[in-house]
Amino acid sequence: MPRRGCSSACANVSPVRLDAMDFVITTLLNALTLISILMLVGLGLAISFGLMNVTNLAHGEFVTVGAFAVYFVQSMGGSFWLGLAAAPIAGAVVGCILEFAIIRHLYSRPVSTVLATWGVSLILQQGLELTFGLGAKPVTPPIEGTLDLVFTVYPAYRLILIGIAMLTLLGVVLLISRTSFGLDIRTVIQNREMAEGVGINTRRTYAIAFTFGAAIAGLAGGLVAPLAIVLPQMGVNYLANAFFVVIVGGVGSIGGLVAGSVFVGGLTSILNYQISPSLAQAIVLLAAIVAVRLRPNGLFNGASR
Amino acid sequence: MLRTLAVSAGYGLLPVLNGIDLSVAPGEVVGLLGRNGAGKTTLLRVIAGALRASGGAVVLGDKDLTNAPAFRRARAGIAHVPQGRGIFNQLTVRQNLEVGTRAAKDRGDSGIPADIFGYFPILREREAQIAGTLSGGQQQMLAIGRALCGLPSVLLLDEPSEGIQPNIVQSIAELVPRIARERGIAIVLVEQNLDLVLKASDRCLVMEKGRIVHEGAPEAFADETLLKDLLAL
Repeated sequence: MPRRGCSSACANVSPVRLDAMDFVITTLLNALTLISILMLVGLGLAISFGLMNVTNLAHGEFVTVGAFAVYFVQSMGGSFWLGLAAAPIAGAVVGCILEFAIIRHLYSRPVSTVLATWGVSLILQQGLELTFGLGAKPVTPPIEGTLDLVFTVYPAYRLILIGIAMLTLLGVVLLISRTSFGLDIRTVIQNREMAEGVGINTRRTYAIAFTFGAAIAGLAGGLVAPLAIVLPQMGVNYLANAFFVVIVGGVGSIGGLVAGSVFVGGLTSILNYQISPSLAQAIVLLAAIVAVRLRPNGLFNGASR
Repeated sequence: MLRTLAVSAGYGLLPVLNGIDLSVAPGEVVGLLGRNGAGKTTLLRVIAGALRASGGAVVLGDKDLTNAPAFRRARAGIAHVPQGRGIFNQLTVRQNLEVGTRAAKDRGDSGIPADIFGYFPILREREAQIAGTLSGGQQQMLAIGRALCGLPSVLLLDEPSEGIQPNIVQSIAELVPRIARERGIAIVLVEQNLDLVLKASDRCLVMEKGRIVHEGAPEAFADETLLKDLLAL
């Protein structure tokens, strides 16, 4: 976590106020970084778990695959940006194969889906370990250094990450609300049998939506790769948090996704400053349970799908 | 021409349809009568592909659709307006109609046909309204209008009068035969409201325990003793 004291740019501000301001803004930006990642990972889970009732325990591996895609491209001499372009493609390929080979045969058997995707998750983790070897993989950010934001100094790459995540989310909102395919998805989500009845190939729509969610998770993995420890097991953390996001935020709307991400990401970032990460994680889980108890249908409820 | 040949179907081990032979010509309205549980709704679901036939065949023109999934049947020209109407509640009226055009995709979809609004002017007025906020009667009109957006050759209507105020039932009774004639659509009408079904149909069939047990012109059903006998009214 970046923590900086006073910089020469703001010498006129009193040190006490400056420290407070620095702290607030840095915490805010840290939270925003985590929230951005959680939103992207949660988006795919909101599609599969929230809307298609598929509990995909291999969703975290889409993140891992995305991060490894960036590592692989960089290790072959490619740029970070090329790797970042490859990340969603890698996620989509794995997601598409998973949907086609396993999930589509188990739509009516939710418990089997849990077991099957857990197995796939382990296979992917071990497969990555066998292919790339043990140990954390180095990924270098495209831009080193910091940006002076008057009140605080913040790593430039994190700001780029936040920007890309927001643009991606905006793109998804536009895709779902404005395009013909988005209309198909909303139709299938609301009433699958009737969607089929008006001539929509719902099986295909599901497959595309699932693949799309995997691609976005892959992108999240690519974005987070320079900040995180890139390991075959890294997806597990994102999986748990993404489930919190979807369950706390409420199923079926972008608003719920944002609300859940802000809740989980915001709380985690603030607590991480004060206490150890594992305790912070436990408190976030506790808060999530309380939130779900108080608002069983999600923090953000009744928005349009 | 829609035909079912010795169609049988059921839910799990429970048989509901026992060899149904039905044929409906373009422009014809066939009314299906029968007590609750006779299999009327199930027959429509089997024709639409929402439920698989366990035997027999569903044929549209020269195409055997028995094993086709529901969306292929919709694209082939079979439109189903189910019980409860199946409106997409969170979409606008216009979006519902737009989704309805998906069925015409393979047959030269040219958007929402303008004459739909001739049958249902209210849909034009309410174009931007969220469909879930429409009244029951308006939703029924939307459901039929949406079905017509797919340029169907067969229209399956399941209890269009359910939960609808009487004056709208009246206008549906007038519209159904008009739509069949003007667009050359074969219509199968399942209905509990006898006035509606006798007024709108060219021919009526009575179902009992998964079979067709009686067939006749609507006038023949005006005889109350026959109705009592067949429908236990």
